[in-house]
Amino acid sequence: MDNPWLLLALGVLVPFVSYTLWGWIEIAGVKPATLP
Amino acid sequence: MSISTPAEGWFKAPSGGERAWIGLALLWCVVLTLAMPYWHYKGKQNSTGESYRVEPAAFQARVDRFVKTNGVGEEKGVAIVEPSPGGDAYLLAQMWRFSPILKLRKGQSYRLHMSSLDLQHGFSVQPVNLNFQILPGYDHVITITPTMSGVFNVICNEFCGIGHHTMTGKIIVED
Repeated sequence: MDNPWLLLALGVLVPFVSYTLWGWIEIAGVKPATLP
Repeated sequence: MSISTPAEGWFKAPSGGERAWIGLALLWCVVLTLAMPYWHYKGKQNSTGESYRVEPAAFQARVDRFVKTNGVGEEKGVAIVEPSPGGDAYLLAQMWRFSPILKLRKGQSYRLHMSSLDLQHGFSVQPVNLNFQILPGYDHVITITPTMSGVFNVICNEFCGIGHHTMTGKIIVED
């Protein structure tokens, strides 16, 4: 973990993957409108 | 990680003015952090986040039906619609108009459904400065209770193309 390049890659990849996943989960959770 | 190892005992704790400024900055961070949840609950300016998935064509069809069942007039080609107090009202945003014109009663609550036919628009009620974002594919629902009567202009405050500056709508609130 003392490799700065590894830390840089992880610092970019971890938020990218987790925020993308979060977005997909949010979109998948939107219910269809009933338009009463 | 540094290029060379610093000499032993290099760290000196901040003192005097520096310490005071760091303390003030930290205190301000805490104040601003607490201000966000405080204003979320006390400001009463946040939406409930209620939204549903909808096809733009289906929303437009619902708006057309709303105009047909609750329409009370027309102004410059835009229908004026009076929803039942406590009921659902619909507002459609599209390049470059808001429709229909809503006629509401002061003190009555409405569930206002908003969606866009094409791209992202801003819903800004003036002069009360109530702001919201309208996205295509979503049925955004906010509960509104007009507290004063008058004519309120709706403007788009999210740049939406060449006719953005002409994109206006209207909400009429009667006693």
